Amino acid sequence: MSGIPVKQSLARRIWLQRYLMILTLPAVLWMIVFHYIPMYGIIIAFQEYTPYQGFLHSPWIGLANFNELFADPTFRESVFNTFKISLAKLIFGFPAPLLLALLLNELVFKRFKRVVQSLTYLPYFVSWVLVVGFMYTLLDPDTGAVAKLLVKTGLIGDEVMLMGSAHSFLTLVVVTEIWKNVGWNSIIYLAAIAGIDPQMYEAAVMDGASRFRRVWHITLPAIKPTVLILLILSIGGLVNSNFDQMYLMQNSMTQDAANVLSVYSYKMGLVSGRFSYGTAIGLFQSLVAFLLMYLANYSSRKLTQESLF
Amino acid sequence: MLMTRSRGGAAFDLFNALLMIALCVCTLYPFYNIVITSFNDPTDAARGGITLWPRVFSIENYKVVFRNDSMFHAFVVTVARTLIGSAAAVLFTGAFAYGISKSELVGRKLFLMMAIVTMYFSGGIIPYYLVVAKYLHLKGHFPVYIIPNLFNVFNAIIMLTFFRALPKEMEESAKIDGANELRIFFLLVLPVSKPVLATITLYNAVFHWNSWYDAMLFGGEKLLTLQQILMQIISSNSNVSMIASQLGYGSVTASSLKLATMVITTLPIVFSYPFVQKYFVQGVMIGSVKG
Amino acid sequence: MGNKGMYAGVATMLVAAMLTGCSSSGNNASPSAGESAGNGSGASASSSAAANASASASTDASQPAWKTDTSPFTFTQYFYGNWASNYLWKDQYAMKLVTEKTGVTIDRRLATGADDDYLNTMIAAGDLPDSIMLDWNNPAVTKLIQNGMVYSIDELIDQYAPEFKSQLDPEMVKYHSVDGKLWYLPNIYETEDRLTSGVPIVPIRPWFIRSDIYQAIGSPKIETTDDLMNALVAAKEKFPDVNPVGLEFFNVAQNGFRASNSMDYLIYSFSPHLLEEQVKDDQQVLEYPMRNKGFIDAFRYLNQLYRNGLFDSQLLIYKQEQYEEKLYGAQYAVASQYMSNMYTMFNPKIQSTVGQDQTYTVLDGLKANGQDPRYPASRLMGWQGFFITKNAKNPERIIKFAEYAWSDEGQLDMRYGTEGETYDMVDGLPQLKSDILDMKLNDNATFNSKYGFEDSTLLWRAGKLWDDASARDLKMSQPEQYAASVLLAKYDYDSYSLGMENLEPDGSSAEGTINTKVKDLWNKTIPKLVMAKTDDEFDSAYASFVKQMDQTGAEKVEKTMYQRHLEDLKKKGLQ
Repeated sequence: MSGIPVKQSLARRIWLQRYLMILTLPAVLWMIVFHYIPMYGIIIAFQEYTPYQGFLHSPWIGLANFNELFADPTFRESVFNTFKISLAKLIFGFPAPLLLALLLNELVFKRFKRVVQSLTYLPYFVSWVLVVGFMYTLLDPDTGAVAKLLVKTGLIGDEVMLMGSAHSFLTLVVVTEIWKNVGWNSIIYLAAIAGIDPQMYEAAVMDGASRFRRVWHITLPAIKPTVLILLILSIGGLVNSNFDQMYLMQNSMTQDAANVLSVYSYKMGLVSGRFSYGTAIGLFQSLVAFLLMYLANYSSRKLTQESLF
Repeated sequence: MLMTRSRGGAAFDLFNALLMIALCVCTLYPFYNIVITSFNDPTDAARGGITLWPRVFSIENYKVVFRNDSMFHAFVVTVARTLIGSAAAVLFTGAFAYGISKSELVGRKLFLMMAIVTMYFSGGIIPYYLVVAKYLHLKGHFPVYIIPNLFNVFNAIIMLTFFRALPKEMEESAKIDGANELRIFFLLVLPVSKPVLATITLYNAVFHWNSWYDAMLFGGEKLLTLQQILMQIISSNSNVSMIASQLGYGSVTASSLKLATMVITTLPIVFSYPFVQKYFVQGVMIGSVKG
Repeated sequence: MGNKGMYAGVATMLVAAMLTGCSSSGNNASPSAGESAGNGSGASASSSAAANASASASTDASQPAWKTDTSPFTFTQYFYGNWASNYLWKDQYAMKLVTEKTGVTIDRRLATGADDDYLNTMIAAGDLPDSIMLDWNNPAVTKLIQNGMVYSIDELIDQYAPEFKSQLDPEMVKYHSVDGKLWYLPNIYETEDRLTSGVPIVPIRPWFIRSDIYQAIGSPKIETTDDLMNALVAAKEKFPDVNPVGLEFFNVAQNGFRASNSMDYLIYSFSPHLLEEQVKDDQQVLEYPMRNKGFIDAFRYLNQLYRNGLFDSQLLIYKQEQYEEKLYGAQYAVASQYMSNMYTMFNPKIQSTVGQDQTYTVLDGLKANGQDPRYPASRLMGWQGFFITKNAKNPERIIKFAEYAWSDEGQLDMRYGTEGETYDMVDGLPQLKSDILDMKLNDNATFNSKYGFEDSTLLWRAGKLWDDASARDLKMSQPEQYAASVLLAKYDYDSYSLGMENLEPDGSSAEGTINTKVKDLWNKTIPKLVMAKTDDEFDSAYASFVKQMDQTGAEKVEKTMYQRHLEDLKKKGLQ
């Protein structure tokens, strides 16, 4: 706070910060243009939107879309699925990169560590379209190499259609999510671990602390803020179960299991052309996400003094 | 690392190393299988069972892919949007993050809240489309790939965390020498921020490389991207098989072509990674945005 | 996507079918033109379109409107069908010919992902290209018209190209008008004589059997559904590694209630009178086919195949290309595929990579319960509509261009190019030069990228001349396919008068929403039916489907469909 007296007038303060403002305001302006102006589109959730009448003149129908929504069994199913899938992802997917980072950090040979790191990032570079494409190819019971391997190792029975089963759907979703992102997401933890003062470890070694205890008492507390911030963001993301993944993995047999909010909103809004209804679903999703994130942030602040904002 | 080794420790090290090797195999094998299948004779590949090595080696798939005359053009467009788009986004997002990292900034809380809200609320694709296509007239022009993707909140938070961890003394002494924040940002802060810049550049590069939806909505034939070609092949199967089957490359099938296209469109971005890898670990910290 | 096969089929048919308009080519408007098209006049002007054209030509000696301005002009066009990369304008012969004559270039665009999604985004944002080619019975058509987003074609014609009007078949205009106006020009609107001329219509995906397997099991007669079952059992015994049955991909949203295009073959065996039975005049409803016993029996048959280990349930979730890839490897004993694709794509490739003995031979129609199958073979009421949107900067030039494309000259330019250079008139019918025809049959990709015949204006007019030309070409160059078509076409009946076109309600209306739900429901019921382990399980899955469908409000849709059925009859002048 390089010595700016607090009592100065606002205008004067802004003037003094004009260079900082030059750096900051373009992005603010950008947000207004690309996010806040388009947000007027939300109003069509309360209208029966027709392109002819536009955003301004389409008839207002109040909460009719929402009434229909809450009475719509497919919508209720999609809410349920969304939380089920996201929760599974949170429980298994969230700790995975943390664990990977801790294990990587314990590797003795630096070179080896770097190689493992690089290789585990690889799937991040590939889009979901391709990943799901791989899955159909590799999990085909007749010709898929991975399906054959799983049968051989007795993990699945012969002739099981992994891609066409509501039972294996959740497992597949979580496993592929982890496969794709675990390496990449571990970067943030590795960075946090790298920032820990080595002297702390040395002192612990002197005291004869076991490796497990060092991780528990030094590493984890040191990266707690990082973990919490990511957790807060993930909780907000609970209602956003990955659209690409769900949409692409949907077929006649997984149709119900893959029916999540974002997919339902897309199908209603853009595919069937019920723009207002699709928007209403989207708005519901946003509200819940924001609320969850806010609650997570609040609880974290109360409980641990750590919070995103 | 720096610990003394006990027997249990050695056993753990071994176990850990084996685990990591297993993880690498799981990660790599799908890629490996795709690559070898794409180099296998397509009709033969349809029988399945290719696990370790191409059974009947063939490069027909690749011949057909490269016969697609839009491929090269799309490659140029994709590289251009990836390079320009990533560089621009890093500077733009970085500038915001730097401004926000100063707790004395007037309106700081408001700006931050604005940014966070955008992570959750959006008006949907239609008004967004109107802004980009009708109000800004970006449709069909190259900047449509760059400008709407200049900013990302998550990246801003990472950069913000990084900037805040920089030693204050450096900037303060520069200020005493009369430098303004613009100079400080560009001449002092950016040069010492290579790790975070490299990281965010790669984040952006991956995003740009893999985008196709905006290319479909706003691009057009001249701005075709690689992923769009890939999507066309994926979503328009029988046309491809028609082309392939009648190209004289007798045995090429839609699936086999898809594999080859996957390989070709993925390799460049994968190979870009080692160049920035050394910066990675230092670059991606995330923390509270409170000032 | 999935429809692609069908479209490709339509296109081929066109090739075959379309030349009709040409019959009027002799009269083609302009005395001044002296175009090669004139030579086609040998053919009798049998179609009404042709008759009209000739009438107009005789009364109007002035230049056609499109000749008044041939300065360079480009307009944009969205083509609904992400598979249609052949249709993009890239300096092919046919495209250059159009540009040379008219000055016009079409900047044609395709969606990359889902077409509905792309189209709806443009509609909602009101940001359409100058023109659109969209299936005339697509739900979005209503939206385009009701939202005032497209010009009325008649108004444009009145204003800018009055002589064009007389070239339009009045029956077509009547059928395709909405609220008294014509909003689009439909391509491939076929006239009554289509049923008697041209390539025999095969309105279903035929089923084929692999020749070597058929011989190995002793070439049994396969005339009934039971025969087929026995043959498959025998095939499975002798060839345990071969998949017994292969069907095209299943997806109700894309393929309609039959789910897989291949199912028609079974459905019309088990339910030969399906279409008639769907109409319940006494209750004023047009029933969903899922209420029809025979229709469900077709799925029951699939279930029996499944239970006998003859149907791989993986097919239920396959994408078309996964199925086709295996078909290219001749990995099915019995497989289904679009007729012309089988003979021009799959068999040749199987022959060259796997062996002549493993190519496929067509199966005759199957009797079920002692009845012959019946295939509804209406003439096409059109495929896609050509819309001119209000966003068009110069609708005048576009309508004049449409006049050119619609004319006999335009038709010949699009399909055959220049006489003497790319085609000759043989017995009054155009025929591509033999090297070009060869290329078309053997190296279609090069043919498309070099010549682009059929692909330029896409405003195919149907008619006898084109039918005859294509029938002749097919007989000559693909005798086996021609014979197969004749074999199956004997089960055809004319379903035109049943009034079954364009029945489903607009997706964003209340009924449309229910309809979407019914489709979703049916889509996920099919695997349950097909993979049922017992008859009881099948029956209870079906019963629960019917119950849920009724709860969703299916009857409302059935009433709407009945009204649309009446409307269709009315537009055809049948009621």
